[in-house]
Amino acid sequence: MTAGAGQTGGELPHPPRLARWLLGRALPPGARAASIAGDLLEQFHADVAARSRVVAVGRYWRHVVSVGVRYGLKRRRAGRAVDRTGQPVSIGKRVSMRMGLLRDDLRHAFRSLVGKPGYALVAVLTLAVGVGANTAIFSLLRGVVLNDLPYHDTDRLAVLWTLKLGQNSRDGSSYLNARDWKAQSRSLADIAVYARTEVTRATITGGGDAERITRAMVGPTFFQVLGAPALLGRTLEPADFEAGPRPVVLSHGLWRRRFAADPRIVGKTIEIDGQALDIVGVMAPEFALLTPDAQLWQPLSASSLWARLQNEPTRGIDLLMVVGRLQDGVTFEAAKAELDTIAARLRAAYPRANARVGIEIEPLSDYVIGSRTERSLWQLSGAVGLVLLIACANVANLTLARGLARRHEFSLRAALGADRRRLLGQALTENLVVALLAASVGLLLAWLGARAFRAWAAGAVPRLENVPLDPGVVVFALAIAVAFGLLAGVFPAWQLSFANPGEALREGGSRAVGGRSAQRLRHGLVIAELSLAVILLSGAGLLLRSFLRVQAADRGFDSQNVLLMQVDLPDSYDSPAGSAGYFREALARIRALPGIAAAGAVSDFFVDRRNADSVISVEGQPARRPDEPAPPLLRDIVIPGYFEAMRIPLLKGRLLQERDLSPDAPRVGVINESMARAFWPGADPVGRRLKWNANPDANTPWITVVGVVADMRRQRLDKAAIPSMFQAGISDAMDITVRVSGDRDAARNAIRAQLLALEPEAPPYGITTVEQKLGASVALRTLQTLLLGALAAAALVLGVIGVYGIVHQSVVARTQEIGLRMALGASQRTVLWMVLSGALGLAAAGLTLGLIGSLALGQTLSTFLYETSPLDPLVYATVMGVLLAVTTIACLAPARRAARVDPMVALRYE
Amino acid sequence: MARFVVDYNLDSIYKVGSEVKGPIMSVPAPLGEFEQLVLLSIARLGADAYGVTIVEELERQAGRHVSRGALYTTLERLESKGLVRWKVDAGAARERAGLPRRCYIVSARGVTALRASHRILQRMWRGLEGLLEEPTS
Repeated sequence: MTAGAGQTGGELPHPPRLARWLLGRALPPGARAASIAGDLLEQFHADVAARSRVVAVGRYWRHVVSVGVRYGLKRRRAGRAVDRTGQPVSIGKRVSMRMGLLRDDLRHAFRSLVGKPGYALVAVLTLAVGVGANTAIFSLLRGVVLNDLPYHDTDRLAVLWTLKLGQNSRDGSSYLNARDWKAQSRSLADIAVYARTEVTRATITGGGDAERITRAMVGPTFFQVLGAPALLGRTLEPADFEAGPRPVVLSHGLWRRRFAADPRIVGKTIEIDGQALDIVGVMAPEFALLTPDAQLWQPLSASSLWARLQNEPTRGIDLLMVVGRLQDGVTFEAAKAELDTIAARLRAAYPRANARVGIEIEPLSDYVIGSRTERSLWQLSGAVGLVLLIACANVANLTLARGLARRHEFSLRAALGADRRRLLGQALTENLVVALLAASVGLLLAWLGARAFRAWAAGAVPRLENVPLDPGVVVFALAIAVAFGLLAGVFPAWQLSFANPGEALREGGSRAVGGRSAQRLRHGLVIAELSLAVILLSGAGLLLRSFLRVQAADRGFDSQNVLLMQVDLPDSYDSPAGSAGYFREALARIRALPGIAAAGAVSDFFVDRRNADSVISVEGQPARRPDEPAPPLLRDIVIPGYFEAMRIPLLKGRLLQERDLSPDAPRVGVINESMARAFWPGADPVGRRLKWNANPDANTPWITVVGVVADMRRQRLDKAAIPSMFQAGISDAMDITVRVSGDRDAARNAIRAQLLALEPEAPPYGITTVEQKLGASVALRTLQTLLLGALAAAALVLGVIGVYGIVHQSVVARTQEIGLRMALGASQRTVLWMVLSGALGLAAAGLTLGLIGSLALGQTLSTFLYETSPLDPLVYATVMGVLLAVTTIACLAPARRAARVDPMVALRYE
Repeated sequence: MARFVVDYNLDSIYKVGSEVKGPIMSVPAPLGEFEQLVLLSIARLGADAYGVTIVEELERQAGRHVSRGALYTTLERLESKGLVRWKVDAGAARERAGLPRRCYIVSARGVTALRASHRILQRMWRGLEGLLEEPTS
């Protein structure tokens, strides 16, 4: 039974699942258990109705616990009904005895922790850092990756792509191809299309400021395939695609922002591009995941595209995105195999439009969350897991050291009659207290951490808004804190529980060093900590090196102080002269403003790599063979002033000029370096001619190359430039680029005001700085590097603290021995070296193991590395150097202390 | 091997050990105070006595807050002594998500036990009626 499907309005609330499960465990299975569960459930519903859910949950828990305690004890009593004296022990008395013992243990634990606050503080904080980091990452992983997507049965949803076999790239699909996929496929239950949102922008007019928005124009089965209900009203239905009324479904964001979350919005209208549309529904906020920018959903039939899409000439134009739902029981592999045969059939049937075109199928979750995001979150959770292990080892070490000092106390207790179980219980209770304190501090850290992450990664990671600190996360934090707290305490407690009563009477003896096994264990723990720290450090080092490489990568232009804004002209400008008039006037007004150094425009600055699918014919070069892969290729339309605004260096020839804009000017283009390399390797391209998207003999004019400019990294900082050509021209939708020399905010506001005054129906939107946008393109990488770096630093500190602790302790314990050595003639340097070499031995062992581990794990990082080998020697050398240096520094103090031992004092010691 | 030991509430005599477990039916059992209250609640509630209502009745009439664990173990004990019987009431399936509701009634044996307890109380009170009068001064 799944929630979501077929849920009726009158569904009664459920008590907490964990409590129900516990109740099931507490009672022997059978009819009685069922009737008791029924009573408690009925009471729960009554409490929910009469009081509140919180009260009801609290009471339910109390009842479950009381039933569990009674029945649990009853079961034990069945085994041994009488106590040692032959008298039966009442249940109540048993409970109170047990509670009394626990209370004593707890009191004792608190007292001894408060008595040595240093230990308690370090142990709690160490564990809390580990628990907090893990909890934060766990909550992220759950909210972003593990929780179901907001659609029905999302495992069966897929995105279908047109695969361009020649260019090894993929794109959406055309309506006709998508229709044929659906008609011919048996493995797909249904498919739905929606127009790529960048082609369906619109302006909200009427009532308030005009506002440029992104909308999703969807095919008839869109909402049915995704399977998500509307929050208010209804979704779009196939009948909405007939001519007649003009329905629209609002996004949650638009509904709240523009209509103040009006609960009676359904039935009202909204004006889009001067046309009143009927609001039929509002979607829940999470529904937007697939079309994150969309402010509203409209039938594709409302667009002028709709009629054109049905015509055969548009078969090769991939304007639509396609989502499909697999039939039950069909795997993605099976669907892929079937789609391959369909693609082959369509290639044969439509050789012109579908030449060298395949079909790719991708699980929807991979598309919306992104495998990189998912993988980096899993990787981070691995890294925080290592930190937790290190923290645990550290606490174990501390506890061992403390246990050695407390042997006396424990043997005294043993001598006074405490049995092993009591001693073990008491030692573990202390760890439990530490663990619980660590869990609460850790939760606080996790909350702060997750909040910071959310603020920081917004935009780089999807679905961050569903990352709450809910009961599941609290349980997780408690569980790992208790598990690792106890894990850290088990061995020390076990050792302590062997406390020999006789030892209490003997004074002195080997008090501090402890048994050989304990010492070996402590060394082992420190080596493990260091090796884990090395793994984290080298991972962080590799990422940092990549990050620095990306940051240092040559952008090819000056991205500082450039403002970028998009302007889409309304239909009234639907002529080349109209658009040209507007943009010339707009740029003239912008250039006249104070604090503006240069201004121009480009068709789409951050153009998607998917659009780089043009092909050219170069004069004097043989045509490319059909099976020869074509390089990706882009064409940009620019208004002169663009190169100056972006400060793109001119390498050869000339830039585009104002006169190139005139309709009767000769056709010229400026190309970038990559394009020059791809088509005229080793030759000077200036003066050469080419035809765009056409055969050499086609009736299109030749374009002459007049200049070569530097490559620009304008989509992502970590992706090389795409070969592209710039031509002078003006279209009805362009990105205006402005280099600002004065105050940026003032310039932004002035430009906005100027453009609105020029044309109120075309508000500039998406106003941003280029630097901001490029920074966002590597936000995930930045975040990953920072987080892994912080974790590695924490690991290093913890590991080094472990080494310090051991060295310090051994120096204290060996004071007498050192004194003796010095009395017998050992020099200070010998002693210093003796102590240091011990520490460095541990470091070397940890380093060796850690390096082996990181070489093995380095490959998993390779997808995140940028021009960096997972075996980068510099990184590993640095890690080695850092570890040895930090270890040495940490051990200098105890080593110096050893070297300063006065032989006389040492010999008198004890 | 077998020893007679007294259960924790002095409710009944059990034989513990390997041979017999459970009550020895022929021995009349004096009722514990809580058992008595539970039996009386069941009797008062008539046909509508089950876990939830019994707790409410005890709270209402005796002002006693009862933990569920204590109630269910006591009901089980009363049942094993043959003082109560139960049957499943099928009418309440919805708010219980299909889980059965056990409605209890006091058995003939239970009524006898209640009468016996009442008689003991009456005997003990005989001659002390003055204590029942409210002080008048």
